Amino acid sequence: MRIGKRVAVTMVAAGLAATLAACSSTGTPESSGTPSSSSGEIKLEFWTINLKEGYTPYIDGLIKAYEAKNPKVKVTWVDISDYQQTQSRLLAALTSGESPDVVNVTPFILPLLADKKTVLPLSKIGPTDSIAADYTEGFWNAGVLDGEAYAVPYYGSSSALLYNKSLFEKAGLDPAKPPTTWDEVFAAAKTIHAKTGKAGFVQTLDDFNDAGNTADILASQAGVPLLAGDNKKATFNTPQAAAYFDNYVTGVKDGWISKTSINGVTLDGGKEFAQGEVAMMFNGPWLLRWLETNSSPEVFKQIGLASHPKSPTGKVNAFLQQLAIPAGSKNPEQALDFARYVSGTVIELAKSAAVLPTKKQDVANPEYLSLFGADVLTSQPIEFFWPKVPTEAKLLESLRLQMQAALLGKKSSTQALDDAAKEWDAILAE
Amino acid sequence: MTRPRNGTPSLPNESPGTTRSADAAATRRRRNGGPWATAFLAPIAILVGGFVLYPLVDTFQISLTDSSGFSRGDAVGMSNYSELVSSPSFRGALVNSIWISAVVTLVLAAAPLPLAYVIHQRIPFRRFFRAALYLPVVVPIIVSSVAWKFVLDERGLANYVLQALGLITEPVGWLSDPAIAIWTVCFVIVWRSLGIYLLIYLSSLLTVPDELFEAARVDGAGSVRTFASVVVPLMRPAIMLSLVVSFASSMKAFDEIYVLTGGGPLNSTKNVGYLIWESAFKNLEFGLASAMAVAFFVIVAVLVGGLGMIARRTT
Amino acid sequence: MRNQFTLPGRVCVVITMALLSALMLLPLFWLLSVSIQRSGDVFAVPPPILPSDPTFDHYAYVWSAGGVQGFFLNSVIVAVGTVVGNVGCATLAGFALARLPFRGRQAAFGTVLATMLVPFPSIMLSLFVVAKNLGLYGSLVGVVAPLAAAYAWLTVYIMKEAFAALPVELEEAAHLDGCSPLTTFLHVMLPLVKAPMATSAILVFTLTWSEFLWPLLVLRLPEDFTITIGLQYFMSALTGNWHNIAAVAILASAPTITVFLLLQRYFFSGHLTGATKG
Repeated sequence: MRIGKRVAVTMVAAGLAATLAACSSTGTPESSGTPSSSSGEIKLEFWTINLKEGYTPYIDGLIKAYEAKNPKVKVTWVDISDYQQTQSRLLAALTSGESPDVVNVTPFILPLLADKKTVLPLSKIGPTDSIAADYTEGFWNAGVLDGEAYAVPYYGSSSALLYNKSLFEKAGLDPAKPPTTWDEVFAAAKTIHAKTGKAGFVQTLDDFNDAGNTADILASQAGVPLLAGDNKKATFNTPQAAAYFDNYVTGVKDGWISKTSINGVTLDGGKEFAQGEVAMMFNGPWLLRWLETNSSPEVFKQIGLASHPKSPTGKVNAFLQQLAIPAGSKNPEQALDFARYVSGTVIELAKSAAVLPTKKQDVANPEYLSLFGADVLTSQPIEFFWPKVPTEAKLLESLRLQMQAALLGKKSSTQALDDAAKEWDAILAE
Repeated sequence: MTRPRNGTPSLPNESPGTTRSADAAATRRRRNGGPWATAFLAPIAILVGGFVLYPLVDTFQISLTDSSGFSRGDAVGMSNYSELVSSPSFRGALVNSIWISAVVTLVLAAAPLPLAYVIHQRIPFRRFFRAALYLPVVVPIIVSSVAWKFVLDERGLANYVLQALGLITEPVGWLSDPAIAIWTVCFVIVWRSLGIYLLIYLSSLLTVPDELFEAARVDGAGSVRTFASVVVPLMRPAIMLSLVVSFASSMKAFDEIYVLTGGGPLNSTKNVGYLIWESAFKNLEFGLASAMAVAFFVIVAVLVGGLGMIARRTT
Repeated sequence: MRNQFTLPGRVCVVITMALLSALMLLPLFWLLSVSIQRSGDVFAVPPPILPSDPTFDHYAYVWSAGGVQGFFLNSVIVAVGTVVGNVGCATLAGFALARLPFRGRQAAFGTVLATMLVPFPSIMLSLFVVAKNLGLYGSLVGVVAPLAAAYAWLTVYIMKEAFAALPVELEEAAHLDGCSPLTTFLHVMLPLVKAPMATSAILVFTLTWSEFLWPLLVLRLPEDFTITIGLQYFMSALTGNWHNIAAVAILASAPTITVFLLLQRYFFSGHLTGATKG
């Protein structure tokens, strides 16, 4: 009896062990990213942000073309649905030691990734001067941190004005002459609200890039730099900036700026715009593609596209996608070569979404200039207004919350900007 | 029909179903229960030990470092904890967590009670009502939150319907007004979990002998009085179970906030779960995030322990 | 029988319940409606409650879109794997905790229950390191194991209640017949707890199906992604079409809704709290 029991206990345990073993053998993690020496094949893992839905043929095509030119290279493509996930998934991949080779990043996460030494400075891979010469200076510099380049620019966009022609008409405004300065934007918004009851425009504090619009309002529209030269002190809490931001506070209060601006994200604003509830919004013209698939043909016909209103700086806020090489890449040279190649395929992408190439030769290419949206995108010089520091996610969250408090009427613009500046100084001192 | 065998459900920790005779039988075999128990418990021990308890201990170790997640980081002693004590954002998130939990717990312990009572009766369409009330539980949170976000938007269906009915004049900022957004989050959490507590109450109503309802009716008790004087007292253990479980799970609420409000506006819906996620995966401050996790675990454990003790004393 | 209501009371109750049910079903109904509307209708003002000209194009589009069928299969593998692992372990544990006397039984049960209090995002990183060290990064097993562990408290509780509710005479008879606890478990007890096992299985299946944060972190290549990750692809900023999103969302909820509607009787039979039917 006693022995029998022991045997049985052992059997239960053994059975379990077998089950567990069986479990773990079914999932063999793929080992791309590692060069398989025997065949001389080089595997590259390429991460993009949000290009799967709608752009698969473009990516598949460029990979096929690259592999044809480089027969030894095999590229695996992984698309990640938004940039915040890039950060956590890169964290996972690097922790696991199975790193991707080329990763789509944005200027919003690059400084933190570089600070944590998770992406390689390009100079570690090869000389960068000749690479830098290929790209528009503003786009290249967005990836340069403390003199080191950490990313190859991929595709960009500058902000533009999208407006609803029929609401302009209803308000007695000329749809052929959209506003060209921010004063004109405010005036038009007030007229539209008074005549139609609809909001004049929406400018969500939160956007895809998390902070682009807060930076846009202060640094571009009000013309107040966010940080002093040494990136140690906030400089945006000036009477000029507060007086300018009061326009927004009043606009939200009086209804000529949509309340969605307070806590919505870009697409919430886009939705209101598509519904014809808001007359203007400011975004990259690529949003038109989203508007086209989501709004009725009658509404879409009414959408006009124009240059972004001029700001005192004479430059327009830009957005950028970049390609970085993670520190764990087993083939950094090949990865860099691939990244440079990918950045040269943007005209192809621009055929289906109005984006801006980052290579000088592409921006000047007549084929590109004939594409929809290219005129608007190239009409003004671009600038990156947000600070390039590792703590920028925290900085911009702090700024966004303070500006939100002002829009909600919880504190004055002056108070909000002062409080934000105080928080910034504390974060920067860490 | 149904005949209860084991009385009403009992609270966790209370050694529920071990009836007296089971214990007696158990005593007889006490000498040789050990090795068998080890074998039967080994799998769950490996599973829970390896994938919950060990990570929890490891999280405590990380909380003593300045880890960024990419590396283990350097030891910094208790400094992450002292940062927490003085951190207004942690305090704010803790208040939000407790606030959300208190509201959700009270509603979830009380509201499904009359609903279960009604569904337990022979009313028309009871099967349909039961399914309708439970259905939100089985819809993936990411799906239902996306749907709610669309319905509750400034220009969404909810405002449209309410305006058409003349109940409101201006669109309500369900998700954009800091005074309202937290209620919206509570509402969606309640919407999604109501079915679970309905299920608990219905299960426990099955243990109430039909004769009791019969007797109440013969005594001339109406539906409300039967509910108040027969059902509620009998359901006490189930109510206590619901209180504990709903408190613990609403303290952990994350998904609804992640999809609906992102913690805003003005941090009004940012709870500790969301703050932990944000510090860890957005700001890459794993040391600090881990300290929050450990502190929060201890706080929740103490609160739930207290709640459980009160619950046990009143039953 | 069970009917305490007067006639006016019944009418009131039914009307109230109908309104409440409508509120509970509203978001799903809305999604369903959007998923069969023509493109562009979703932003119409006023929002159309019912599609004027229903179409199934969006379903056809998303079903044939890259990878969706594979995402489904992966979700099924993950959910079924988690159910098997979780319910298997929980049943064994439930038996031991309810029926086998040993020192520290209360403590063991208490420990499992206490894991209910652990907020998942907070242990995610450590969990990830564990998964990686076991070679589970990038595999579906890596999704399964922690999820099976995360819901152990729930199913262990259900199974312990279920075993405890069985009459002690059964066990004594088995014991007198010379059965070991293993034979008692397999031949006497197990057949009697099938229903609570089914309840546990259904609960775990629906919970696992919804998961999105953990699969996102631990899975590596698109061919392993689950449907909740796939849904996020369609929500893509550049092209996300709301009608397609609604169609994927409905497809993604269909399995759990179907399982629930077909197996309702297991949900509502009282096993959750050990109140077994006689």
